[in-house]
Amino acid sequence: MGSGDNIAIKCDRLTKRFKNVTALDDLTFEIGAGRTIGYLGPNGAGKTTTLRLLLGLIKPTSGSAQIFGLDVQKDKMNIHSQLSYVPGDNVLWPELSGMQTLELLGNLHGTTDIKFRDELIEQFNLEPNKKIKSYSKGNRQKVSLVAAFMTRPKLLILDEPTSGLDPLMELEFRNCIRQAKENGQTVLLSSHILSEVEAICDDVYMLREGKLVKSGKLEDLKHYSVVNISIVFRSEPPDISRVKGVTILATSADTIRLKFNGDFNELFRSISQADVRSFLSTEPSLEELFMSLYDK
Amino acid sequence: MTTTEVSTAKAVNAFNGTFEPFKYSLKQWTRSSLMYGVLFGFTLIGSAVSYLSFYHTSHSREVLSQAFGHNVATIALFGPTYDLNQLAGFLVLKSFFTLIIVGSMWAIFATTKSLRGDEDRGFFEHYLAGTVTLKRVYLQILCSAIVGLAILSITVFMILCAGDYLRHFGLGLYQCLYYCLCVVAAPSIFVALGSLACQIFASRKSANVFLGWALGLFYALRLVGDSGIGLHWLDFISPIGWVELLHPMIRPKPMYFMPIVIFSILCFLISGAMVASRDLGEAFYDDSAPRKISRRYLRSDLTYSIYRVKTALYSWFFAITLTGAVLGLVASSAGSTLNQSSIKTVFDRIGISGSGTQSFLGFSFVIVAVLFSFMSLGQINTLREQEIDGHLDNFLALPESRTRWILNRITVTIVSELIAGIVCAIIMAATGYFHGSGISFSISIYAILNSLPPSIFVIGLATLAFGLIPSKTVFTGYFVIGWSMIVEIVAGFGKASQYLLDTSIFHQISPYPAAKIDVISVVLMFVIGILGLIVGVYYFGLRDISSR
Repeated sequence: MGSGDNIAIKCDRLTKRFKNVTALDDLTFEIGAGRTIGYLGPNGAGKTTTLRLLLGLIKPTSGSAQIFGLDVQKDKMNIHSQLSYVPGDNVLWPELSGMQTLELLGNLHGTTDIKFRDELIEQFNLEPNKKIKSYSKGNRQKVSLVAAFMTRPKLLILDEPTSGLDPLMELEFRNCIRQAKENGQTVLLSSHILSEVEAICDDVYMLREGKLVKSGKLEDLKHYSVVNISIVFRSEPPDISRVKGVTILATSADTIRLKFNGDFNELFRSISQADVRSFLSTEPSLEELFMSLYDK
Repeated sequence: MTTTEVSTAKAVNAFNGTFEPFKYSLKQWTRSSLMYGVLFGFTLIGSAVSYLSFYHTSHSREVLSQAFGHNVATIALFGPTYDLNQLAGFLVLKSFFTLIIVGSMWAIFATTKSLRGDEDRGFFEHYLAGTVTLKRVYLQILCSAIVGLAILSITVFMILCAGDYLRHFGLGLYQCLYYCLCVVAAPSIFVALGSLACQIFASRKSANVFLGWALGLFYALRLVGDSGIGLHWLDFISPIGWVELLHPMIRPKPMYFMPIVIFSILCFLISGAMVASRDLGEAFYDDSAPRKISRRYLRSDLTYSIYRVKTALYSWFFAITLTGAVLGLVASSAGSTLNQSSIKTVFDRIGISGSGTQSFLGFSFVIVAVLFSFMSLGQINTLREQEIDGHLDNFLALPESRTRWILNRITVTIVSELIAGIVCAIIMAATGYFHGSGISFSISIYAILNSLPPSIFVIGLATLAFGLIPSKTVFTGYFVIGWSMIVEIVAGFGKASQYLLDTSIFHQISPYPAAKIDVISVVLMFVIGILGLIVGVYYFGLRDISSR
């Protein structure tokens, strides 16, 4: 497989335009094999477009993408035999039962671990002998998830996979992802549920208006982002509102609560003359990181 | 905003919300009933004009009357015929049963769409989240359906009256009115029965299947009743039999409106009681348990595609084989009347010659070619639907090539057409043999093979559109078939230029057995169709998949 051995997904200046709308603009990234990636962005950022490009369902306006070293447009069949996809709009065949759907999808994929499939059915508490039509949205999602995991693919592409699942099933899903990670499977997870991404993903890729605005390990990203600071003074607090990167959240007789995204030395200099009783800095959650990037 | 203004605004909102189901449903019913009303009206005008043109001598009318008036097959298929030497009698024979069947099918699809389809799609949830109950939604939709039936009847009446006035048919206001009421009787029955089926079955598809069987059963009962084997009482237990007994135009019997009205009211009352006692999305018959599907259908994309389209294919199969049976049964009688009427000149205009029976078959196989073309188009349209609703994504995200996906489905369509054609030929030859029409099996087979190229052409063109401009797939297919049909009709009414005739795909095939098979045209259409197919499949492989 050559260069594809350690790289699961590679996008090179991937661009997609729909008439006058640029859905994806010059997207370049590499995802290492065995990594679990959170793919984030607000609605219309280009997440689903990226996934559909990777699956070869749509073709790029320019640029290229590879999965396991194979071109996504030229080697679709080979690539698809190594991946599973859970679409965002879960459209299944209403006249089939859950089990019939799994059987059909398994036959079409070509490889199904029957024992594992049955374990997954139990794990997700799925009643497989009901018609898809009579399933709730969450149960339909479970069918898609079981279908994706049961083939034990090298790559899982998941578009909003926990949409409709209850919190208990979300935990089961996280367990499945952890298990996939242990097995060396690569996961590309597009999600809006930031706590989920924070809990299971190694790396995060953030899109905005078709462009990649941040990527990397979650902990690294957090260092670059806004931190929450609470400073308690023994005397009257100094005026630090003019320090670059400071956003005052609340001020009382002896306390200032603020958001900070700037040079810490400058902040320390501004309070060095005051009598500081305590200085508490908390790392932002992924949600705060997300908001700091997308809040206009 | 003052308190009074707020309460007025609330009241207006509540009022609007209360009648939303009626307003939405009325739009759909009005549109389709107007369309069908115009279609029915002009069908009647066309039949009347053709009768007056082709059977303008009393001799030709007598021949027509003798050929069809006592023909058991004709009576069984289209009901008893009276006074065929008058326009009114001819209109009943020519159009009444066609309008009954088409009108019933329209009523079935429109009713199940409004009462179950929209519930399946989640529209009712929005209504019920407002100020209306499920029973009120049901009542409002039924009211809009009744308005739709009235629009259908009025439209047909107005067109028929206009034709009567302008072309001097000599029918009169009462005859026109009575005929229109009779035409709308069968759709009314199926609106009522449809409302019941939508409470019994939890999916539109199941309700449609049930109603389709009911229509078939009602038709079959009256068919046996009219077959002259002493079972005439069957007419009285079949709702289609009641409609037939109304005797539109000739010897009217309005008392048979009574069972129709009682049957409809009973259906409405029972369905009203059922809707009041059920929850949203539920039905009297619980079909949530999955059907047993043979595992062989789940083995591959090809086997599953056969499973998905088999119901539609069965219907086409039935329609085509039934056409074969009808042709076999009436070919002999029709052939003998053709020789005596001026319709032969029309056939000559569109290139059909030979003996009466041969001319009739040559013309009729154009209809078979139209059926085959619609069958092909229906299957290509299904491909587009699967792309739009997102099912295609499921397949193409798997190790499944686009080329194989599309070719599997097209192959299933072509093979089904071939099988339907062969069965049609066998049935036509068999029925023809028993009625002494002289249609041999070889003639039937050649005639069927001769009528297939237009459908291959349609497949090719629709696939080409599906590959290049997918949003125009349905339009392209219907345009080609529709245009070709119009050209054939126009050519029948007057002298048409050869250039115009050449634009019709149905004019490209020779009217075998009235003329020799035009091998060059057949091969040319076949080749063009296959070329379109290849180019369409190629571009489908390159283009973006555009789900909803």
